[in-house]
Amino acid sequence: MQEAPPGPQTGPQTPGPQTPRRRWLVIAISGTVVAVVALVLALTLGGGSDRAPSAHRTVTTTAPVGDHVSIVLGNVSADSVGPPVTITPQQSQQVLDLVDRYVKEATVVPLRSGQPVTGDLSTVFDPAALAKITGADRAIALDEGLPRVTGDLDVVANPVNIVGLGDQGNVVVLTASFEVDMTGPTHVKGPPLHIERRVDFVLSPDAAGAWRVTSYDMVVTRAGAGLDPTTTTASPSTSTPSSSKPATSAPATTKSKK
Amino acid sequence: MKRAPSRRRALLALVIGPLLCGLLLAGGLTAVWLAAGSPRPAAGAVWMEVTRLGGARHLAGPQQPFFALVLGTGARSDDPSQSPDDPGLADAIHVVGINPALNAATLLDIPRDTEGPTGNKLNSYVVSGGANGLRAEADAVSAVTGVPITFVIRANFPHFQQMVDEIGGIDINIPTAMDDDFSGAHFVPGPIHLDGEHALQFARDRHSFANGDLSRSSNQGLLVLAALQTLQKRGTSAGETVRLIATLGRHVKLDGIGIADLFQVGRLALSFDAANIKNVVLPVGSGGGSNLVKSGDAASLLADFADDGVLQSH
Repeated sequence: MQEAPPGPQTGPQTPGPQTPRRRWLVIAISGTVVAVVALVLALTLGGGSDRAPSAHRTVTTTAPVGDHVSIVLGNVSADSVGPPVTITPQQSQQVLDLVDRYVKEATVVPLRSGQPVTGDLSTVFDPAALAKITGADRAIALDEGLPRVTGDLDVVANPVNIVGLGDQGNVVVLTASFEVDMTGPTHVKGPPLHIERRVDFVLSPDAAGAWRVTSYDMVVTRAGAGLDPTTTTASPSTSTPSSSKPATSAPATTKSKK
Repeated sequence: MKRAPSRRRALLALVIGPLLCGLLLAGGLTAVWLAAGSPRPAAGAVWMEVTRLGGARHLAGPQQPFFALVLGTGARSDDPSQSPDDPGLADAIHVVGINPALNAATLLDIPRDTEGPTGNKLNSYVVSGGANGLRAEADAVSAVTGVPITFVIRANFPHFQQMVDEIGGIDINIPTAMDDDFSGAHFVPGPIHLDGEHALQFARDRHSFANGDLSRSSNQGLLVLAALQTLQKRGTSAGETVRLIATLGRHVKLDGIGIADLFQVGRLALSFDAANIKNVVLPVGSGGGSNLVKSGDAASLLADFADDGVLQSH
């Protein structure tokens, strides 16, 4: 077999005797190995992580106050024992404000902070309902103790449907039904945290005439973010889903930036 | 001949070089993509996901056991002058014991001829009490049963019929054959959907049974339970309960409770499992004349009923 003579034709990487083909082969195999290793590393270390890279997570250390959640009005109607009654725009707005405050203080803020709820819910619930919300039903009614949302929190809220009960020309009971769907990435590997909340509120005026939630019925579904399959929410009462349908109008979508 | 290896090397470099670069680039980009964001599933993709589901409910209103009186009168109108055949005697008398903590209740059906505290038939106090007839009837029933009556609901014939029609009728399982021209009840045993007219016929019939009014009283309790189950099947959201209570409020007369409180009681009742509601007839035997009096079994039953509204041993 004839050796390749040294000379300018072979360039600076003049191969050693009988090695050029083998060297290229080695380079090709090495490159492939490097590429495969890089791919495997990427799948092992990076696969399934949430949307926020570690660099971003370290930046997000505090939950912003003032997350805006768009709660809009759906169908408003009333039925009465006596003369027909009408729910005023002010009454509807009061109900919307209560729902907005609940969604924000009970869910959005704790999801952002990863801390227990500290907001004042006494302006939403009457004392008896508040005691239950912050007591026996706490794990269901409040989104605390869950992985902190580190990225954008997508909030989709169906319009709030209001029904009033009238007696002797006055609205004596209001009901508000709504659904809120929230999705946000956390530091936990796997799918993002996803919470669906279907709520029926019953409101009555307190002694000062301010509407307060006196009864509630809620069904909450939480998924993703590595929720422990052995941990099930304990409910002391029924979990029968309400059959009420959301309003036909389009849901309001809010992207809550971190 | 000697230049051939050199050309092959160049050719190999041209082919393998870009290939290697491509592989490295693809690996790097894949690493960046996976590290930077959670891969979103494509439509139809299956992902392992754990779901936690929970429900919570809090109902306002009474938290302690309480008792309500439900009356059905034979009046054909709210105006007594328009109902000459029947001044509004309470031919359906039911005491409902409700225990919110236990999510349980009892329907105690009281035959109309049961003797009241003054010796008159129990169905008559609502009439003799005049303007305070509902309270007078409640006091009389309370004296017989030994339970405090918190509030009274009363419906007459036309309002009962209209109310059943407005709620969309009642699904019921007829327990025994009924064939009575007086009430118009002609039913075969089995499931049936009753409109207002037929529900009234079912509730009025006493001639189809050997024990007359006792079976009728039991059937009236059965009808109340069937109505509850029918409404539960259709939906028990807060908004739907508003419609229901408004309908109820338009067709009944109330004593001791307002509409807002009735709404809370309605929410409570609709949350009960019918299996936790017992329907029993007050044990009675023959008394003076056509009156009926409590039998020996009544005392222990009423004691069981009075302590928490629920029958534990009966």
